[in-house]
Amino acid sequence: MSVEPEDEAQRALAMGDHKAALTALMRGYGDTIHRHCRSMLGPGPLADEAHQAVFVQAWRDLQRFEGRSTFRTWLFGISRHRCLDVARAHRRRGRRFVQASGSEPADEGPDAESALGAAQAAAQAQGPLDACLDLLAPDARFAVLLRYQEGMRYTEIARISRARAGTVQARVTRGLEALRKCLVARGVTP
Amino acid sequence: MSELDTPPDPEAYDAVERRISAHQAEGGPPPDWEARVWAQIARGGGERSRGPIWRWLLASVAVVAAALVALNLRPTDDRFVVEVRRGEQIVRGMNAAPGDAIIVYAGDGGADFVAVRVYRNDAAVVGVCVAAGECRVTLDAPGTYRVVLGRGDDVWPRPAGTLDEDVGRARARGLEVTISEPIDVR
Repeated sequence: MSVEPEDEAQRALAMGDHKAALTALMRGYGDTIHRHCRSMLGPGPLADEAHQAVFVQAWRDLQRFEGRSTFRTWLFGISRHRCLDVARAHRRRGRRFVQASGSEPADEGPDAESALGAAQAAAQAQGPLDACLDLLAPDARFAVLLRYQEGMRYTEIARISRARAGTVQARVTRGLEALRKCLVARGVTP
Repeated sequence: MSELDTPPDPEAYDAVERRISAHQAEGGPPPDWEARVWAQIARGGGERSRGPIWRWLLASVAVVAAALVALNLRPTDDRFVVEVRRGEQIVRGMNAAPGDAIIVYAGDGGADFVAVRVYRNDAAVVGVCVAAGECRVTLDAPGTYRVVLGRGDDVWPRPAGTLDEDVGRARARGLEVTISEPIDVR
């Protein structure tokens, strides 16, 4: 019989076994959080980086977990910050790369350059929905994905986003309208 | 200010929702990702030490105090103001002509969810705004228009019928509903 990751992590945490708790969370929610990171950042090394950072931070914060939400909701809350961090860092790298174009990239090592190249290639290969999701503001994209991909309630998303539920609802509604228009413009009938 | 001149199309939204739900970006995490997480933690990436505890306690007290002050200072905005404008001019009374616009200001009233809908002839929804603030809807056809405000702790189900039916569904969810005076457009 399989044990729910929530129960397993809770039990391990109660026993002070943080390693077992994190292991349960990685096994239970690793794929879900990675899918979310891919949807937020596009497939590729950026999503992998954010995904990894989520669980590293979960380890750091596990001792302060108070059970006010499920572990799943808690992990999505962490993923919001880590995805935004990675996206910001990516934009900074991108700017420096563009500024350096035409000459040798001055301050980029080969790892950063290849990561950026892979991210750009992944972005070009993505489908119309991914491309349209990319056009949404990060908070709107986050809310739309949690609402329809993860089936969360507005109040749950609001808690994660530290916004009012009505604000989240407005982001989702406007996001849906923007997605609909974007898909139509790309010749896709939603 | 939000502006929705065309009625929302629930079926189109449903289709986008279904598309997102079914959407699964291909691929999964790298096979060794768990080992990478543990390696990063071992390198200090998951360092838990964050300085003296008193510094965090002090910062927490300051944040809580600021939040309490902010909450007390923020008055509840109960306003629900509806006016008709022709260009920038306010039209007196509730008589309007095609091409005029309804400007609605709705405060949140302390509620989690706020929605404003504009109905024509108590049947067709011609505009929706789902956040507190100002909202503008253009009156593009003759008829009798009503602005309906729903506020509460739950979302207002999508419009599915007449004004009466939609208001009934809103009230069944515990929303407080306010309906404006009719606006005649001729």
